[in-house]
Amino acid sequence: MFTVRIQQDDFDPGAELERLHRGDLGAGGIATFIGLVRDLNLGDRVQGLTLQHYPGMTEKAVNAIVDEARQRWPIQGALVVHRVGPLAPGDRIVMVAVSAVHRGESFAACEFIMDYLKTRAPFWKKEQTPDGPRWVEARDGDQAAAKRWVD
Amino acid sequence: MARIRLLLFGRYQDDLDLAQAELELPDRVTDVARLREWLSARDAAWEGICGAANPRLMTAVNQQMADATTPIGDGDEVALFPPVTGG
Repeated sequence: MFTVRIQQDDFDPGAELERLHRGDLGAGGIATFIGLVRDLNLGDRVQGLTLQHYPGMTEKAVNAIVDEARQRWPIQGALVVHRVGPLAPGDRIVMVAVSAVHRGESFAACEFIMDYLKTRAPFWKKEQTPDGPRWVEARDGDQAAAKRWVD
Repeated sequence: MARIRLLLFGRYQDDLDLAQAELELPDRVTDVARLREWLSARDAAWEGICGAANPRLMTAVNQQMADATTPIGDGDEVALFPPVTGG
């Protein structure tokens, strides 16, 4: 099963995993990543953040990333749930899970999807700090991580 | 004359205090590079975002990532945004 959802609401990782592999007896394993809101960034306390996105394009961009993962690895299923709107420290932001016959493909495709989500999907984080709100800057490390997959 | 819908996201939305606008393009503005050049001439804030000094500007045309040579025509939706920070 392949699923992409962009939503304000929280999600239940256990239920998502259950749906991903239910009925798929060929899958040998699932690799999962869950991204969380941290309470500290660049040395400043983060009281919360707001995730903005580009409705319409976001869904297309994330689906294109999942399609590319499917072309690169023989995966059985993939799930991407990404939240938007106001979030608090400790909240889940994103979940990526990939099922495959063997673990190598699921780990690789899960990491690939996350690296591409961070550099190609139109989301922007704005943090609330004690000094006021500020837009989060993209990290060079994220670009470098995504470039690994190009060669 | 081509009319486009321009969208701004992230920091640029705050910098220009603008989320979206309908624009009529001069005939010479036919691709992303020329759109950037034309918008840069508006004022310092636009120049800061669309000017050559900002290589980090990302663009999308009709909800697909675009580059300097991507054509722009009547009815297109064009978005300008900083590097993305989701995930």
